[in-house]
Amino acid sequence: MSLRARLATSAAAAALAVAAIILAQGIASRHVRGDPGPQAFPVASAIVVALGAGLVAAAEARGRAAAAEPAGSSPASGVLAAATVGYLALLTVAGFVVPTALFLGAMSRYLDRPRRLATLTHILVAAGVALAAWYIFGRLFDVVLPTGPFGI
Amino acid sequence: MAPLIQGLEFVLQPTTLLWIIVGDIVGIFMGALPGLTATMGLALFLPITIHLDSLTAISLMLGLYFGAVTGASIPAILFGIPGNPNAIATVFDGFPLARRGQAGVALGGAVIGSFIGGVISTAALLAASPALARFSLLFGPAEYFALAVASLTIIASVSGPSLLKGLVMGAAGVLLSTVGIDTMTGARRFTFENPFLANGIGLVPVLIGMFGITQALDDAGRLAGFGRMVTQQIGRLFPSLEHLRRMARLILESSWIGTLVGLLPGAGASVAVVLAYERAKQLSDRPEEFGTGRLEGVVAPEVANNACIGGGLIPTLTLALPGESAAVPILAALVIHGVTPGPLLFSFQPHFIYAVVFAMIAANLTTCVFQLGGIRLFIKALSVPPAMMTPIVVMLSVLGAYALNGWMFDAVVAVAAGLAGFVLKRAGYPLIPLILGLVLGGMMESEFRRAMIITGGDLTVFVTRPLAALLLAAGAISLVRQVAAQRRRATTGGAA
Repeated sequence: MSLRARLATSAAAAALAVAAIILAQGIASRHVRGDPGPQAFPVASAIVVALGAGLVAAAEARGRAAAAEPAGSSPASGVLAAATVGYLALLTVAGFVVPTALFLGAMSRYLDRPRRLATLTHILVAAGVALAAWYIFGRLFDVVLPTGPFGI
Repeated sequence: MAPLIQGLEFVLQPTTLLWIIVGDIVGIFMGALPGLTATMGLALFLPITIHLDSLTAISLMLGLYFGAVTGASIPAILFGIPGNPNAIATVFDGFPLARRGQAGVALGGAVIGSFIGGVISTAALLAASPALARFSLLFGPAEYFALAVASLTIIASVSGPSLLKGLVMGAAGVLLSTVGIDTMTGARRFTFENPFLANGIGLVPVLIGMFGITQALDDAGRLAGFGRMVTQQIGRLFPSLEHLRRMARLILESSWIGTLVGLLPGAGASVAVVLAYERAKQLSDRPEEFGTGRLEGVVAPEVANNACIGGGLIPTLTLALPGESAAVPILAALVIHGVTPGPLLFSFQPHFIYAVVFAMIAANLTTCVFQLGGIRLFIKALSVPPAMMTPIVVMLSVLGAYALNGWMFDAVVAVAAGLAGFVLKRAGYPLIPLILGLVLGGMMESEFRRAMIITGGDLTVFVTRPLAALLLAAGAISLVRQVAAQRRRATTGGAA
C-alpha cells in the first residue's frame, strides 16, 4: 500500500473516532452514583483511536511508521471486492441462487489466470455450488434465504 | 470425580462424536486447501454452532481446529505449499522427503507427531485445571476489568510491528462493542434509530468478514503463488517404530515448546514450529542434513503445531485471553453460547472443562485416524483450483453471516468488516486486537462500571487490590517491552 493510502487510512480512522466522540455527546447520561455512565467508554475508546491513528498518520508522514504487511497485488483484490458488493446488492433483489451462481462463475473465470479451466467448467461448478449451498442452508438448516423471481 | 465422568459421558455420546468427526473431516480439507486457515474455518462454522448446545458446539469446533492444523501438513509435504502459515517449517524437510518418494513416511510422521503433541498439551490443560479453579475465587469486578485490559494490551502489543496500531485497533474494537443499547441504563448508543444497530454490532459477522472475506481478498491478489499443483507417489504411510523411538526426546521437547508458546498470547504456532525445528537441528547428530529431507524436521514442527492448541486454550478458557488467533472464534463461540470464559468457569462448570478436555482427546484421535485413512482422498481436494475456492470462501462468508439471524444486515456487516479489514491490514493495522476488543469490550465496560458503583467511583481499587494491580502491571510491562523493542529496531535501522 502506498504511503498516501496508508496516511488516508489512518486519517480516516482518526476522523471516524472524532465523529464518534461528537456523537457520544448526544447519549442520554442518567446513571447511579459512582457509575461513569454510558458515555464514558465510547468517549474514552474513541479518544484512544483518534489520538493513536493521528499519531500513526503523523509518524507515517515523517516516514517512521512500521511498514505495512505485504499483501497481494491490488487489481484482482479490487475486482473481487467490487464484485462482492455487487453480489450483496443483487442478493436483495434477485434471490440467492442466480446471484450466487453469477458471482461464483464470473469471479472464478476472472481469477483463473493463466487460464487452466474451460469456461463451461466454471459455469457448471458455479451453478452446482450455488444449488448445493441453497439446498444445505435453505433445506437442511432451514435458513430463510433471499428469494427472487424463480422462488430460489 | 463426578464432573470428570459427566464430561466423559458427554463426549462419548454418538451425537457429540459425530460432530467431532464432521469437524475433523471438514477441518482436514480446509487445512489441506492452501489459503484456508483453521481460523477462517472456525469463523465460517461459527453460525452453524448457534443451532447446537454449547458443549456440542465446542466439540465441533475442536474437531475442526485439530483437523485444520493437522491437515495443513498435507500440501506442505506433497507440494511444498504450507496449507497455512503454521505449516511453514513442515515444508523445509517434508517436501524434500516427498520428492525422494517418501511422502507416506513424512505424512505418517506428521500425523503421529501431531497426535502426540495434541495429547501432551491436552494433559497440560487438564493438569492446570485444579490450580486455576482455586485461583478463580480471587476475581471480582476490578480483577475482571484489569484482566480484560491486560488481555487487550498484551494482544495489541504483540500482534504486529507497531504497538500504536495494535492499540488503535484494540480501542476501535471496544468502541464498536459500545454500539447498541447500554445494558445498565438503557441508553441508545450510535444506533441512528436503526433497529438492527440497537442490538449492537454482531461479533460473528465481523469475525467472518475479517477472517473470511479479508483473507479471500488477499488471496485473490496472489493466486499465481498456488500454481504448483502436482501429484506425488505416497508410498508407505508410517515411519518405523525404531525411528520414532529415537525421536522420543525431540517429540517431548517439541510438545513443551508448543504448549508454552501456545500459552503466550500473540506468539502463535508459527513461532513454536520454528523453535521446534531449530531444537530438532540442535538434537540431531547430522544438523547439516536438515532441509534435505530429515524426518525429525517434519515431526518436530508438527508436534509443536498441535501442542499449541492445548497451550492456547489454557489462557482462552481461564483468562478469556486467546493464545492463538484460531482461539478467537472458539472464545466467540463460548460467549455466544452463554459460557463466560474466565477463572470461575473452572469452579462453577468443571464438567464443561472436562468435556472440553475429552473432546480434545477425541478430536485428536479421530483426526489421526481420518487423516491417515483418507490421505489419498484428501489429495484430490488439492486439485480444487484456488481461483474457484476464493469466491466460494466469499460466498460462504456472506451466507454464513446472513444465516445467523436471516438478516441481510448481518451480511452487510460481514462484507463491510471484510473490506475494512482488507484496507486496515494492508495499512499495517493488525485485525486480532479489534476482534478481541469487540469480544472483551462488553465485559470490560460492565465490570469497570460495577467496580465503580461498588466503590462509589474510587479508581484506586485497581491498584489497592493486588491481583488487579498485578494484571494491570502485566499489561503495562507488555507495553514497555514492545516500546523498547521498537526503539531497538529503530536504532538498528529497522522499521519503528
